[in-house]
Amino acid sequence: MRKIRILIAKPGLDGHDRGAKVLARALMEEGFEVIYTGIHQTAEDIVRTAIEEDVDVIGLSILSGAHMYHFTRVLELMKKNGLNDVLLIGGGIVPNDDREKLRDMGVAEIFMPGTPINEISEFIRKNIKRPS
Amino acid sequence: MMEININSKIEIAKLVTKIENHDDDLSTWAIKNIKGAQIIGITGVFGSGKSTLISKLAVKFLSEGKRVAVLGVDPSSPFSGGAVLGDRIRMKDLNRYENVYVRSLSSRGKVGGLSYFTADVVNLFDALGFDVIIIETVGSGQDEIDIYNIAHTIVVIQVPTLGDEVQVIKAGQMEIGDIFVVNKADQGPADEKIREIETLITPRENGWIPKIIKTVAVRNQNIDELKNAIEEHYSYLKKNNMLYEKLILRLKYLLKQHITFELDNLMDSSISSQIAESLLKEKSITGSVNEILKILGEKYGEGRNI
Amino acid sequence: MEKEEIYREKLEEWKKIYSKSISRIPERENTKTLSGIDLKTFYSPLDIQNFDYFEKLGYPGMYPYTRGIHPTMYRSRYWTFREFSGFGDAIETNRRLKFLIEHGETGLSIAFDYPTLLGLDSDNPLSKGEFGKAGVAINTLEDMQLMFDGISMKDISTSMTINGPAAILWALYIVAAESQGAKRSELMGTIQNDILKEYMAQKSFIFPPEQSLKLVIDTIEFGSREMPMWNPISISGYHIREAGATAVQEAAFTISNGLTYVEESIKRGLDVDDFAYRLSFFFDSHIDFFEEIAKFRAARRVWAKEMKRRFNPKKERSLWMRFHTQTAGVSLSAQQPENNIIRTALEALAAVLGGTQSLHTNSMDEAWALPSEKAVMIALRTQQIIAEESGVANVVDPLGGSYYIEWLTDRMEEDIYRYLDKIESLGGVIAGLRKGFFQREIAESAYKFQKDLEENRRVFVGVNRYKIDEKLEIPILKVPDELEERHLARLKRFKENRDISKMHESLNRIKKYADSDNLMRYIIDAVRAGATLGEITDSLKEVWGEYIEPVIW
Repeated sequence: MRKIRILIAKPGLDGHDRGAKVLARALMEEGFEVIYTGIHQTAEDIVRTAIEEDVDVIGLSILSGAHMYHFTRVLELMKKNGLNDVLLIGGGIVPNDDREKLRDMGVAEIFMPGTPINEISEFIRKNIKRPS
Repeated sequence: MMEININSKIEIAKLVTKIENHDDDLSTWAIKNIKGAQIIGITGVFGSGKSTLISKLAVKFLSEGKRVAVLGVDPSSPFSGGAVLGDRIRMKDLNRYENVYVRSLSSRGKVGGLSYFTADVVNLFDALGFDVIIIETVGSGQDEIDIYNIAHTIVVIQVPTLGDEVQVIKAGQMEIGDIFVVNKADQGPADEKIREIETLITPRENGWIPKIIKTVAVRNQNIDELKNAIEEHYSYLKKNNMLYEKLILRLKYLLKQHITFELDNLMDSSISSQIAESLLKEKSITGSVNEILKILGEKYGEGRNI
Repeated sequence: MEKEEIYREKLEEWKKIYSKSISRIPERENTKTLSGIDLKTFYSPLDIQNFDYFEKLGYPGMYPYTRGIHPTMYRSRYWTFREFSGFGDAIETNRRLKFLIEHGETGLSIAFDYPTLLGLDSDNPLSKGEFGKAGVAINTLEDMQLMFDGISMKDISTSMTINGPAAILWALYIVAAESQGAKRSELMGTIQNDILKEYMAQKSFIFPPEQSLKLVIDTIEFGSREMPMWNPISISGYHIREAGATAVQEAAFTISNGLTYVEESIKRGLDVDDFAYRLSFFFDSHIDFFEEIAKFRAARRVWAKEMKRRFNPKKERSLWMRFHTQTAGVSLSAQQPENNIIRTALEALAAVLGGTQSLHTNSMDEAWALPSEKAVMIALRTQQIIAEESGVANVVDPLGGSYYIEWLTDRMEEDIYRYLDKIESLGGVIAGLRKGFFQREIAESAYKFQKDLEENRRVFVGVNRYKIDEKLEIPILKVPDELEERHLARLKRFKENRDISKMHESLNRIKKYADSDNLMRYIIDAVRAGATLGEITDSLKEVWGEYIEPVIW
């Protein structure tokens, strides 16, 4: 009965929303409820939406190279608002050492372009922090 | 239950989730604590600019010091039950305000119309002390009937016709609209659209004569007029003692939705397949229906609030 | 067709051999083109019946230009080798530009960072974290002058990938060149400036569509009067394709955007022959080799036909579709990145066989990073090998007359026309955008493509087949913090050292004439008065507002 709710957001200024949209739609077809915020979101917008929509997962798509800045901001605001039971994941082009750093900071996983969507949905089902 | 911090969006959000997942106790609590919020339904097709309009309208209420809840309802996929809820994007302006809460609901596999528990969520907002509740729908037939049962005032959004596509005003919308808005009035022959609506409207059953308003939501044009019209309609209901009637209508609808939910679930189960199969043998339709209703009666109330 | 019966008779014979053959070894299942066009086993004269050579092809340099816009094509001059650069600040990019010129690049191509693309100065809070990442940050006249320090702007052609604030970057370029002593009438280059595709695909828009379009027409008008060697617009299918469109959608949407610019320019009072010859195009070259070649040929033909039919220009050149091509970024894989060199070579070859005027070959690491110098070098060498070793450039349109290529070119033309009709019935491009038509079409194709990959109907080597256990090394060119600090300090100094009241006056004139006059003159004045990119953009936002897109599936 309980549906897993996922926020898919594009922080920052890059407008390449192909991946985010394809993913949102594919997750819908797998039965998730996806809240898609569109492009040009600030970290404040994203975390507020996550709170109001009571999501289980936040997925950020970043292709601009500005991932360190945006993930850090979102993580900060999540902590500040006590969103400890929300899973944060990301998609996009993130070099290895940055990926390590982000994992250490609390990002559950960053998926590279080319990752099969069922791999992502499986990861979500296995790793959500709230009982489903 | 009584210690809900209305300033905590996290708490509110979690309560909505509970209701969406069918928490009868919470829904009942909400009804007992209804304070009488003003409920506005706004319906319009894709591209009519309804999200932008809602965001501008909400700001008007917020500037009067009111608390506003916005409920966006998107259909879910009939196959997977999943949904993509994307209307918030045009309400980004609202992120600057503290006293507004925006939530997207999917219809959760219900074919057509609003989610089973939309009225429950509205009651919850009311009980939590929101002054104004705005419900946004795409206007797809069934959800117009649903929203008629929930909202005090219904605003139907139209846009001037572009290109050679004919945009027909649907009969259902003509019947439920208390206020018609021609939005994006700067992008096409708005006056033509107004005349078209004028020829089609008739007084509502309760005597109210629908109003027509021309807006350009992106530029904040005529939003005050729209708000005034909404207030006028609400005062009309109040003056004629119709608010109570509307509340009872909403609660009746709520009950019906709860029953429908149980029935839909039961009909999806294997028991109902067996009963249907038995129709081929000795059972009569009356007998089978009675059997289903009996199961429904026994089952109801059991296993609630899991 | 002569002797048609013979062809048919023989075909019956062939069918017998064919069925015997497939009973032993059936044909593979997936033989559609990348865009999903069904293909037959082979093509013959029967597939291109009533083929009128002069109506369909003509000789090179003759209407309808299917074989190319020039009579000699690459026998006289190769296409322009153009590699993208732009990274960090102006000084760093200047270094890279000089490196490329030294290694034989014949035209410059500048990429800007995201804040610049959206008309934001680097000190705007929204620019945080984005400095110099996807390209260079250019905010002021000083930045532009530094980027071209030691490069003679009158002698090189420069392409700038900029859209929303293209008019402003162009003004910066013009004033910088003039400060080197160049005359604006001798400047060569291109600003991308194709705002319509931004709403469809790339999403770097600033103002609402109607106002943005007005600004684009200002630049076209200005160019036709003062800058005869400049392409004021590069009507781009590239981003539409990268966002997921099919080859046909790419060509059709681009052509309808182009026709919209022409119509609007004529409404402004321009003569078609005053500007049409300066319109340039920009396409993607994807991995389906023949489909891409057919796309280029069909697009060139449809453009010439439609320009002639709708506007009947007197100059031949007004019918030409001149285009730049970039190989497909989306076809590259992060996995086994060396394979990208091969993909890019094939795509580049298709662009050349399709008759491109200039070409950017992606570097093997370009899918996920600004390319390293070694990778850029290989990309450039790929073009040089195709041009100077392979011999493909020795004959014009060498595939012309191939049954398959001609059939596919015709098929694409038909499909392009179907879209053009549909767009017209929606009320044109802007009405279509408002209705979400293009966005929906593109999203649908993107989704279908992804599904095909996921369900293994399409092979992506190293990604969904022939995978190896490898540690994905994603090298990234990091922007050192010093570049941002250096840039911000320079910006601060620049803002302090100008006549503020003169600058404000210039911005007020922009606001005053935003809707009523050609803005180029006022923008150039503002640049001279020391206004920054962000300040000029903000003054226009005040008048025009900003665009927020609807979410479309």
